[in-house]
Amino acid sequence: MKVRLMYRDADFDPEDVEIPFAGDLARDLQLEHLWDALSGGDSFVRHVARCATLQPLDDPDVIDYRQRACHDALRNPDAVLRLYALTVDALVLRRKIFLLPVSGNPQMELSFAVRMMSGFADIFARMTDLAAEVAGRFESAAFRGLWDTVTRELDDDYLRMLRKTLSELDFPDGMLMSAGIGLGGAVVDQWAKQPRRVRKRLHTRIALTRPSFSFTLPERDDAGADALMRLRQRGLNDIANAATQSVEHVLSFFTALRTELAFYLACTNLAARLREIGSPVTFPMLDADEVAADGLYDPCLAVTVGRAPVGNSVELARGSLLIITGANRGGKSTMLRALGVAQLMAQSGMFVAAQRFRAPVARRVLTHWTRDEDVELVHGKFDDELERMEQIISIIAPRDLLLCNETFASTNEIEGSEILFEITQPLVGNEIRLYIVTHLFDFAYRASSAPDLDVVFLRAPRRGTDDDFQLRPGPPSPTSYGMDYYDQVFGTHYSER
Amino acid sequence: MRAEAVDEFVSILAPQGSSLIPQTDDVLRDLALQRVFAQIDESAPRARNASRNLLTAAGVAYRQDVFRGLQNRELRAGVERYLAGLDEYAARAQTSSRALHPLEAQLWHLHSAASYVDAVIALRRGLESSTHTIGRGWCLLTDYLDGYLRSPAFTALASTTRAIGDELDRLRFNLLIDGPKVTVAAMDAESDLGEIVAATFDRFRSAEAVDHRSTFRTPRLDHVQVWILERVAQVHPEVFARLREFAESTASFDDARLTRLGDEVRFYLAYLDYVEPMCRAGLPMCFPTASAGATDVTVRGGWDLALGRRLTGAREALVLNDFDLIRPERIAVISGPNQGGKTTMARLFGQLHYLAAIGCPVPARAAWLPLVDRVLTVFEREERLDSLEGRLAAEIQRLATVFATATPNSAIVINEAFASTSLHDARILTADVLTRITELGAVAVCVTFIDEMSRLNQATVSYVSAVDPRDPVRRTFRIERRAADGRVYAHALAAEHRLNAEQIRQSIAAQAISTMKAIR
Repeated sequence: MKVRLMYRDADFDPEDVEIPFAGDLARDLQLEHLWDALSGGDSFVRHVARCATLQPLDDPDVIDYRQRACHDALRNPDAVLRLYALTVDALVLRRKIFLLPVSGNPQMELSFAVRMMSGFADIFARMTDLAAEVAGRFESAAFRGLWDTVTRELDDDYLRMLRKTLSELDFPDGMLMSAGIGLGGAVVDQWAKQPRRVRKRLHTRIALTRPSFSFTLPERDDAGADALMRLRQRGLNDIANAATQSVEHVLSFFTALRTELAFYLACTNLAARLREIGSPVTFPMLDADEVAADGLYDPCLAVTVGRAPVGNSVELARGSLLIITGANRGGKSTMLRALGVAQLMAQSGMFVAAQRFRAPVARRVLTHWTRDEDVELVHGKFDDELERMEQIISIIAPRDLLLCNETFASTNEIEGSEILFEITQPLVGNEIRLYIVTHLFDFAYRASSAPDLDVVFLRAPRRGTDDDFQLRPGPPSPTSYGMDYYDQVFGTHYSER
Repeated sequence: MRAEAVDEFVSILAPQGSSLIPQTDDVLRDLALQRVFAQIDESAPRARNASRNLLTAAGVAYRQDVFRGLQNRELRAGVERYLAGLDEYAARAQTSSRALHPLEAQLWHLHSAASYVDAVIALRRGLESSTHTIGRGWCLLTDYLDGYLRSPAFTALASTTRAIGDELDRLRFNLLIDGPKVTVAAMDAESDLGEIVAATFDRFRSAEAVDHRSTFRTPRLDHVQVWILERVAQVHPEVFARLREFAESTASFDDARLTRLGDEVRFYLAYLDYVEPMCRAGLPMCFPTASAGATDVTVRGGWDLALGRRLTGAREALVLNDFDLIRPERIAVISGPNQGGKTTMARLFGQLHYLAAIGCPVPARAAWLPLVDRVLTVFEREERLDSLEGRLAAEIQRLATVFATATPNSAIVINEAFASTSLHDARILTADVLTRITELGAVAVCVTFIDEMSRLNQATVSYVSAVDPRDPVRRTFRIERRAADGRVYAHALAAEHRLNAEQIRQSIAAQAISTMKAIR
């Protein structure tokens, strides 16, 4: 039995290889916020969402397969959630078996296997019922295939296969052991004893020294029965193990189903959250050579602040170099993150946070951010930046997307510009898309006058204008608007000079 | 009598009233001290405030003495045994208070008492070495402990605990499990079933067999064991009667001052543990002369605690730096090539002042420092989405906070401020900031690539990260006191990182080929 919600012909493996520098990517694009919103508060859903975004697809067929399934999920969030809940119920059964030290007691193990299987049978029946109720509302190949599998292969026959005899290790008169008192009153150092027996009417009975004191475990006391079982096991620790492989097969199916459903559940969580705050979403088109986006925003920011951010537009016809300049606190980094997050969401098969989004498939998404200095690093900031850039360059290849935020801001403007420009040329010349946020005016100016670069510029507005954070096409301007804020805080008048 | 009362042991961290202004965690982070303090916070959560509050001169002296005492191996071992015993005592006492059954509670109470008694005795043994050479805090503690150990309450506690414990250890009983029915009785002369089984099959034995037995963890006391325990108590009523009486008569036996000592002394051990590997690698630590009236800074053989830890782990040598600020000098302006140790030097400056003011040994061969009331830092911090503010704005706000709180007795560390604005702006704003510090009169370090700032006024003095004269790309990590020469080496560094255009083209071509191969 296969799940096949993520790929037409393969399982989704959350532990599969992540995109290189996934840690940097997550940190720079602040994906933690995205995953939080995707998770809906479920740490497992979050984990799967995280893995899916960090394993971007580049096969348009697979992306299409997932987009259609995602679309189904967005139209039927309740059905997805109900099926997911069933898988959780199934997997919860497992905990009972693994929490108990069943090894060394085959009788126990078998009885648990039967209990598990009867639990599964119940869940199988509920799945079949659910399929009958909702399968017709689904259109995607992925979900239709799953409902077919459920209807065809899952019925309550499993349960009947698993009734076995459980009469081993039968101590007809009970089990006798000697023991001592350990820390906190624990029964320790148990040794099974050969009892003395006395015959009384029709029964035999084990004779004990008087006085003796007894209790009888209440019938419903499962925990007590388990405890007693542990005492017995300790007294009889010389019996070999048995296996429960059939249970494991069913469990691995439920694990796969839960994992793949979690991805679509995550999509419905985020979509609901964005709808709540009035932010638009759309299914992206990844067949294009050019980049074209309208109403693009950073969903991480949107869910963090809890309101719809200002969307931005960008058009990159043929060129692959985008440079964003302008005022501090003008939304430049946010725009860069929005572009990166949209690309990752698109390539995991999700919708994106925009009114319209068209872009080529990126082989990989890479980021180079000015960081908080890793204060324990041996190197200085600039060297750290160079080192990270060196690592990126060592693996970069055509069709990659590199996002740079204030790259080389840790050295002075002239040198930062020179090295950034040196890097830009060979990257752009090799079909590598490069989106750069920069204060390095000298760099931006040189890029604008280089004929072979074909650069598109966006500029962040100066603070105080009405449309805060709305970026506009426009060439770089040489001042960075830092001083007005300094003046405002310190009461100086430098910006007026 | 009054004078004696004042000189009584209260806290190992400081005499009363000697702590000043709490410092924020941002400063610790900027100074790369967060690891040290994370270790302190983890092992001594209740000394958290003490490690962040700067001290008066008296407080610094007291704490330095306690540190010196811990250099005595026996004293230190005694303290460590005491703490381990206290941890065990606390865990057991907590188990006792959470116990669902009185018998379980009583047993854990007894166990906890045993841990406590052993811990206190171990501490006193550690202090047995000549107490007059181990400083004021330890002497006060020893006197206090002697009185405590002789007290009737403690001696009774110790003997009763031991007697009941021994008796319980020797106790054995019989247990019969028959379906849901469990019976407890005194032990009889039954044979061991395991031995009988082994004996029965002994004749089939050939070679040594593989052991397939399961290993069981000792489980938490469940209610079945509780019920068994109740019946064991009925079978052996005398010892359990003594146990109950003990528990009822000794509700709490721990001493408030000794408990506090346990919480607080961990501060010292955490700090010493942190620096220990570096000391072993030969890096010098010293007790600084930090006097309240001093205004000049003199450091010999200083090193950055964070970098020292990193390099010690990697078994690399570390450059030690000397440093002076002699009036009218107030601000060291550090410029020069990147990756030359500028930030390290700035951090070191802050670390020395901070650590000296909380009474800790500092990473230097020798240091004379003013005792500062605050250490204030301005380091570039990562843009935070939650704050919706640009980096520069955050930096300017941080500067505003610094100037709002700094006094002439503060130390200020500024690391590459205004890096995210243009050169033109940065020049004007840096000069403004340095002028403000000069007017204030605080000691400061400012790392900047604008080397002309070192010539701003008479309070500024230039320090430069030095390079190897034979090979300009090679950094020495030495910071030298000399005029800034304005040369920067970043471009050479870029080529060294394989980031010139031709190197990049070759790398991409190689990647493209290997990708093609992978597809095939």
